Amino acid sequence: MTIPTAVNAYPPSTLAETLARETFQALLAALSNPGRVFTLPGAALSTEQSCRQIGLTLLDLETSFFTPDHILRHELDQSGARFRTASSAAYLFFPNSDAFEAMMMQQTIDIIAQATSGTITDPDEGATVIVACEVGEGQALHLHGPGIQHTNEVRIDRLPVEFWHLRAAKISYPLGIDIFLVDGGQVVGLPRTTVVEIE
Amino acid sequence: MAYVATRGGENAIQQSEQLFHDLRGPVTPAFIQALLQTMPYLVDRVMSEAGLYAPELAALALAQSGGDLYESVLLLRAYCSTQPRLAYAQPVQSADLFTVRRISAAFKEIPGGQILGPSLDYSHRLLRFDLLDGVQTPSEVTPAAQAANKVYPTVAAWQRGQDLIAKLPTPEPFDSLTTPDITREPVSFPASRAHRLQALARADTGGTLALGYASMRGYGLTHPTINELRLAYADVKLTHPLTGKSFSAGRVRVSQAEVVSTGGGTPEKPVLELGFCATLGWNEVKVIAASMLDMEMDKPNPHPAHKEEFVLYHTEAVEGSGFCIHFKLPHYVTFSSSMDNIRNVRESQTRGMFEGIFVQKIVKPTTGNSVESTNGHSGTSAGHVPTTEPSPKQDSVKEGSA
Repeated sequence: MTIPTAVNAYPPSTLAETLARETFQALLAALSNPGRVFTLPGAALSTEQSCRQIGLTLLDLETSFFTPDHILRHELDQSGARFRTASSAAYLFFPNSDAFEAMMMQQTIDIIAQATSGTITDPDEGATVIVACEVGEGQALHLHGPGIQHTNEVRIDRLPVEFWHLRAAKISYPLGIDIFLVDGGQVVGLPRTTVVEIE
Repeated sequence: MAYVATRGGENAIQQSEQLFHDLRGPVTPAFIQALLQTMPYLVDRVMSEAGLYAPELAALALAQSGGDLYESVLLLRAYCSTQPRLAYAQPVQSADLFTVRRISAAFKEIPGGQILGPSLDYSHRLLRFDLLDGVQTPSEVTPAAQAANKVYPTVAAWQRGQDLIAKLPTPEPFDSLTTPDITREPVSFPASRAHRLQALARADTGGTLALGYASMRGYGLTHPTINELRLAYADVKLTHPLTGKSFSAGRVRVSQAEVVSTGGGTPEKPVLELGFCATLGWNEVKVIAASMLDMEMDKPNPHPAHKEEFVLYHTEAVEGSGFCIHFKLPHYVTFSSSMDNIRNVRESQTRGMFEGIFVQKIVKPTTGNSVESTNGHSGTSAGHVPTTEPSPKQDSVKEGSA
């Protein structure tokens, strides 16, 4: 038999709340299935829009963020989250595809190198990095670890090999950083537990 | 801990819940409003322990749970945890509170004067049976010729002026990201001042009273006096996100107690030491007991029941009541294991007794296998191979059972 649920037991949600909840579910699914490509809710998002949507989903006035992108910073200020330095922010956003130019990319990597991996007493304080890239082409990544039955393969372009070395260097479980790779409306989650091997 | 995953019983559970609601009677909006009007102190107690100021929701929680305080507190905390934080209010200073009751047991002539305010302290503790008959007594408060002040300086501020109490440290500006928040992080010990006051503000009234009363009766090391007890309304002041201007979003009932005791400072320069508690809602007994506990916890070697860790952990209403009611969950595996142990011990002892008789009366087994094979456990006498002559003790067993 079915259990009837209480009517109006919860308040109706606004469109923004519904979008944020569905975005959160997509991000949760992405972190639970490392390397699998998920699509964010909303129609044909650009990478910048996706980063904004992820930011407004994850941020509130109890947390902090950093982004070198001035437009995104202005948009994410609406969330009430505190703008902080790269080394102390909980979330770091790199939405700008221009950053893929060699010099800019080096700057991005230098910034991510400052991100906190948490402490032994508070590993949950490890930062979450949201970074733009191209999904489905380029460098093949072989993934294994929790959430992957055997191995998983995903192709990621426009992130240099130093990025993957940096990620490996920042992770010493339970310490580490969690990563969302964003390409348009697509998102790939790489929690700190996932081992990435590159050919 | 081993729990049994149970399946089925959905109908029974549903009917059980329905029965609870049926026995309680209907909850109507009018009833909730009446509850709100007639039982503000009950509503305040629930809001205080929940750490959420929402009188209507607290009344709803009370009505919905049939007046079960712990269930009501849990309902409010659960609801609160689903709500986003929109803003942080500015810190409230005691001297800015819109105060309706303010008394001191330490000094009669406190600056600003004693304000009795609403209280049952001096009432006759007699049941008003006439109310059962529907007698309406017109109760009118006679307005004073001159209205009382809205705000009062704190007694402690005056004492600080007299150099009787240590100076307050300069407060750091409030920062939501660095101020400890007990609803977001676990308490570690020794707890920060913020964590301790937050824990006491949400502490179980009954638990706080029990531990505080133990201290008052003589298990404590201090003999405090109520320096100041306040019932007041606090303005919830917010900073407008766009204009940056400060505005009041409303008022909440708050209560606070400050107790003092001699024994602070150095032998050359003794000062008064302070204990403090503030909470949402008007809860006099709780803030008095908790402020005494606050002072007691600061002592270098308090009674075990007044150590900070003991007090803060065991006055946590939701965790305490939750742990208590969790014992109603099926513990079949753990209990079955305990029963096995009892049976094994009993069985092996009984077997030891019968082994003696067995050896003497019937046969002379060459090994103990016939006995041991019925029971794989090695009890107290399972290793005893009864091939030797019966001992005097075994004789007495035989005689006794013959």
